[in-house]
Amino acid sequence: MKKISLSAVLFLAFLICHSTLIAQVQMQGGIVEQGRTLARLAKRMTFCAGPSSATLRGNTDFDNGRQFKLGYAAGVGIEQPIIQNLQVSFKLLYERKGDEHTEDIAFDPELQTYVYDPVRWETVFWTIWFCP
Amino acid sequence: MGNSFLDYLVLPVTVEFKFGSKKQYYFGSGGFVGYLLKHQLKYTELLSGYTQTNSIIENFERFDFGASFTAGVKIPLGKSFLSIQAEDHLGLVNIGDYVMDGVLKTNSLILLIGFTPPGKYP
Repeated sequence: MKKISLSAVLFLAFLICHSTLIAQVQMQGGIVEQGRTLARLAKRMTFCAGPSSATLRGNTDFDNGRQFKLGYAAGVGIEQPIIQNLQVSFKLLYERKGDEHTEDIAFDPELQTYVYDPVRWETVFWTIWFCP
Repeated sequence: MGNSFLDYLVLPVTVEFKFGSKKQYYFGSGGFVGYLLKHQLKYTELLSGYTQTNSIIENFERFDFGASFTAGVKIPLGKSFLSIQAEDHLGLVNIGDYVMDGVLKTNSLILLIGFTPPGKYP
């Protein structure tokens, strides 16, 4: 009985070790394959960067008062051919958009911050009011 | 004077038609998805030079979607490639609900200089 249980324990230990080893080998194989795939992708990657003209649109306030602003973009891209002369391009870009504008602002001592100048806004309001 | 900065992580996907033997010219169109990472408003008082920067990201939609248009050229540089391309990202969704008319969309025209290291260029 003692011999059987010892054999069973040894067999069980062998099974655990074997399965662990197989799993480790498979995992390492997976990691190696993932590494190869990444290396293959990296060989086809394009690193790109450049300036941009970033504008905000679709809004009368922004269209009239706000000016063109220089932004930038940088990132990586990859191309995948579909058929001859046709390809799909994927990019991942960090892009700075925005705008620049000039406004009349005034310092509010109570709030301790800059706010829109109320005189200026009143003028704008009355101008709009009397426009046909 | 005010400056507003909108920093996005943008993923444009375009289908491109390419032609040419040594130099490869290409043009195409597709779409893009953008995710707003940071939005700051920087005020500078012109007389005193006082500057104040506020984060106003909560007033804007985090996701931006739109159309992408691209055209460029890929020039062989030994075993590498140098690419020069113009790309336009035309935002089609409203990103700002707080603004006066209730509509605000993005647009950016980018000049991208690219470098592909030696490898398997398809």
